[in-house]
Amino acid sequence: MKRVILGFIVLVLLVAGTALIPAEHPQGDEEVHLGFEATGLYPVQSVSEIALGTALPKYPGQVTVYKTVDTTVSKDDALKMAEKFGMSEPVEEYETSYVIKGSPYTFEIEKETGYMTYTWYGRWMGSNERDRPEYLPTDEEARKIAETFLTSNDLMPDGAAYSSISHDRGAMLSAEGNETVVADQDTTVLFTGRLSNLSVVGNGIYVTLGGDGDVLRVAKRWRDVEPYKEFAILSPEEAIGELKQTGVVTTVSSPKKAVVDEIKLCYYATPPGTEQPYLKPTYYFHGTMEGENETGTFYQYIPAVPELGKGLY
Amino acid sequence: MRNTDISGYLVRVLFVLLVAGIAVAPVLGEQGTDEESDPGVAAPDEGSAVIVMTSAGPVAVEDLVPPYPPGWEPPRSPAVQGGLYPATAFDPASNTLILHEGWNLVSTPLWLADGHDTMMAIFGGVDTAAHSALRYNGSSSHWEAMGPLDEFRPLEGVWIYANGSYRIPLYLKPAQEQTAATTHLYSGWNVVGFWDVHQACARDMLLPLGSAWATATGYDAGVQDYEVSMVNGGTGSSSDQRLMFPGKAYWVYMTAEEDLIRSYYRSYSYCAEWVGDYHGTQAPLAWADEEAEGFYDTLAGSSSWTGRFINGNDAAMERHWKDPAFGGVDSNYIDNTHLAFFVGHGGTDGFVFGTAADDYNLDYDEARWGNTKTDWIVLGSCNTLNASTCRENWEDAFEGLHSICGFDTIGGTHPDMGWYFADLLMEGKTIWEAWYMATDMYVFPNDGSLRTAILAADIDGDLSTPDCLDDHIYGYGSSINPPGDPPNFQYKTDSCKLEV
Repeated sequence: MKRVILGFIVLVLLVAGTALIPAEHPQGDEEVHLGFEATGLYPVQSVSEIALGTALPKYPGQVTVYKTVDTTVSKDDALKMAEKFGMSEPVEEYETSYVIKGSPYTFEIEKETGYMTYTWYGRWMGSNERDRPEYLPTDEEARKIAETFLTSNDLMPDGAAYSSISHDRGAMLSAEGNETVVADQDTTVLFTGRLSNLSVVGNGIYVTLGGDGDVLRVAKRWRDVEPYKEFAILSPEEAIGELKQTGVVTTVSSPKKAVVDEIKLCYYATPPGTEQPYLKPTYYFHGTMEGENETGTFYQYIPAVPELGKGLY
Repeated sequence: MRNTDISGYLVRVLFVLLVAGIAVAPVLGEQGTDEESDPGVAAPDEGSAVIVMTSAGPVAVEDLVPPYPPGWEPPRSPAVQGGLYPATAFDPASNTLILHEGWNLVSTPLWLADGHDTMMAIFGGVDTAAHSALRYNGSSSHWEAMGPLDEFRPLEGVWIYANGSYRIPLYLKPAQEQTAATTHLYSGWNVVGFWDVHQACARDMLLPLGSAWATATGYDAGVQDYEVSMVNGGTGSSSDQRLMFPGKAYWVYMTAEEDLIRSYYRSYSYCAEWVGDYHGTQAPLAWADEEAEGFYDTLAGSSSWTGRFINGNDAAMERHWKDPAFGGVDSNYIDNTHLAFFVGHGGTDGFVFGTAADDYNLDYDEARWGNTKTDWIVLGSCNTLNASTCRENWEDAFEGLHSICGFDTIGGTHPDMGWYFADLLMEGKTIWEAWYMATDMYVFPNDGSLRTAILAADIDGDLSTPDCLDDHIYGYGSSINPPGDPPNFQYKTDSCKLEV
């Protein structure tokens, strides 16, 4: 008899639990959304003290969540995109991509993800005299060159906005001594998408420039979306509380104190082809970290819609 | 009840001891093997004389000067003995044999097409100033003049005098007609032609001879004298990790008879290890398994590559990556494959395992890769190629290794990164291209400061030539063999860009 009663209680709890699931909750993606997912970044560490080094931003209480839309690239799509780069050579079809080889540029686009690159391999891969650091445009010039290149070729995606500039380098390292010769360097100008007036981290197009401002590479990774519905979001204060529980990404060992110097609300987009049903508003935190014996930086993304769980995507 | 608990405990203890015994056994066995003496060559110690054990007794290697061809005269100007980079004898881009004025010791890198494989067909247009083309008979220790219809065969060396410079096109058999080449080497001096159109270090070229070869000496036609000899097991300028080059032939001193067999078709092998569960010593690493398995399973689709093993969590062990000189068994594991892939935690000092069967960390100074087989290492581990430390930390690990890919900064894992990386390799991307494209795509979320990196052996100190930076995996494009102790390295970073 006791077992029957116990079984009945369990059944009631199960039914009640099911009934309490919010009606707005997207069906079928519990695994994706429930619970904070490890992100695959190596050093997520907890920190005992998190202080604010910047004013808390203000955001509306509700923000639109977007639904991702899968798109596949056809041969015609590839040709049309290549035309924007002025390429009209024959298209080669591979299992996962279309490739158009010109001189000196190669255009490649993946069928399932739409990941697109346009590359001057001879310059970009090797160490070319023309790309020595002294021949690079300034960052300001680089931004103008990149913007002009994308807009004049109708390549700037709708809503894309300037995001950041980074530099990569190639160097010769002597095995005998400590001599390092910087052989080449490039400047990459990144433009990221915007939705509901928030940046979409992960949706981006970048232009890499070499010496004399020559375009060495353009790459675009973009996830198409459509509006889903509005959801209440965490306040920045509440997000900091989540941050304390989640931990931060840092290589500083034995982290003791984090000082947040940037908080912003954004959307987080994973690469097309990966499972991500929705683009959710997410808080981005960045700052400095004091450890036991060293200092450094940290960052972390905290999903902002509690109703959709703690998974980033 | 209590008896049951105790017996269960005892069973567990016995099981642990058994596992520990099994785990330690390979290490002990490997160390035992290392202690076996080499009957042919006394391996040189740094700074001490190299002794070659011949049938006539011990001979210092510096006394082993190969014979000169009849009629050879010392160069008029004081000879500068050839070093790492003697005059080029073969241009692989055009399959052209290059003769320099004076004596040349040359070979064909592969089988020549019928009708284009005789001395007349190849050297008929060369003004030899009345010198005969010569070969050396290792069996009788005599020189023999070659006739116009004698075949110019791979693995054999020919001495030819040129009264000027010549570029002679070689018509190689097509790939499908190329077969293995064999030559029998006798105790004492033999002339051996270099096999292949790409350079390789002496250790690799002469690997089938085991300990039977003592020294190998090339002839630098540019300075008209012998190069510094490469000694089996030698170090420094006599290192057997110095390069041999296509189109050249070498004097090889043998302490025993042996066949040298080189096959045209080779199969290449790879492996992967990953650690996601660190038993609390480190934070668990999500997706390490899927990333490594994705790589392993995808490359298995290549007809040129064979997966040797994939180990995860506690089955992935530090000893598999550590050189026998430091108590490891990498020559039976990762260094017994051409390409090794690791996913797990790491830092500037090395990378981390999850089992205490060995120590947890593979420190950079315990790695000697490529002294058995490995050409490429990919480390999906943070900071292993930190810009400020990687050259100093990892340079000694390059013992034939071409390159290491890793991260300059914090890195990341992703279930799709491994297969995507392997797929790009099989599409013909260079290893560096494939690595940064995969990390560019799948290392997220980040703050825009994350960078992937490569440390690649540089061969000629020339910044305009990418050398090993431009390597493709075998079967999907060109690659270049570095010497065992590269004089320089090329280092490149690439931001994982599509963030923030």
